[in-house]
Amino acid sequence: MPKKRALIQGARSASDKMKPADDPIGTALRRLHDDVVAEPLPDEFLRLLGEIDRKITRQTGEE
Amino acid sequence: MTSKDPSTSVERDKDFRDLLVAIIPSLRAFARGLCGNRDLADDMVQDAMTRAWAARESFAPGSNFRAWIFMILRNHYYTTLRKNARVASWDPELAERVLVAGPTQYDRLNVQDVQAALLKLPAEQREVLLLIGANGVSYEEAADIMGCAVGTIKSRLARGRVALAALIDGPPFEDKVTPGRKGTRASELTSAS
Repeated sequence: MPKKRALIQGARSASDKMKPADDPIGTALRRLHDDVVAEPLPDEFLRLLGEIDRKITRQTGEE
Repeated sequence: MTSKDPSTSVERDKDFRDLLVAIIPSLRAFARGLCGNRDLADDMVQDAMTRAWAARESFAPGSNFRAWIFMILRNHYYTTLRKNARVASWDPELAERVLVAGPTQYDRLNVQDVQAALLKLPAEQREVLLLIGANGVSYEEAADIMGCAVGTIKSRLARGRVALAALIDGPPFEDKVTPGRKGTRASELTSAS
């Protein structure tokens, strides 16, 4: 029975239409994402990572 | 001397740190899309990173880090949403622009208009559109992150796309004199679970 179900699901996903490349909503959603990803990392993130680095360094006992 | 070996745990922490660094841009994009506010989103991402670091022992190396930390961010978002209505708010002027923008220029949608429209959707539709449509997460991974079935993900995505398209198209031309109060569904943001 699980096999049959997998087959049906496979058939369904094969018939699923891929979103066309010129789909305006899909394009806008990806642009929304890409715009943020392209931003330089704000300083507060660098500070947070610096804190993590210090915690790791302290573990090595090289203070 | 297995996992208690200090050099091993330092190596694991360094690996974990590298995973964190690499995922920051995706986390920021997801959080920004969810709450529509840069500062609020970045605060949530930093909180999620801090929580992830504190819980790093519970992450199995080699398993899906993105799904794991997106789940932490998502849980944090819903907790914040329940406590603070500000998270679900959006710029009303932006929202108005979405409503008056006609179907022209449909081929080049304004990103800010899409963001404003996203914020009017129920949170569960917004997040699935962001995960799959924007972040490129698979149905299966989205199901893991949201803790529901793949079928649920697919139906939420389909409904979300229809709702988003309707919001962006705005009212039909005949109704243009009454831009309407399509934007009064902010209550749905806070009621969505």
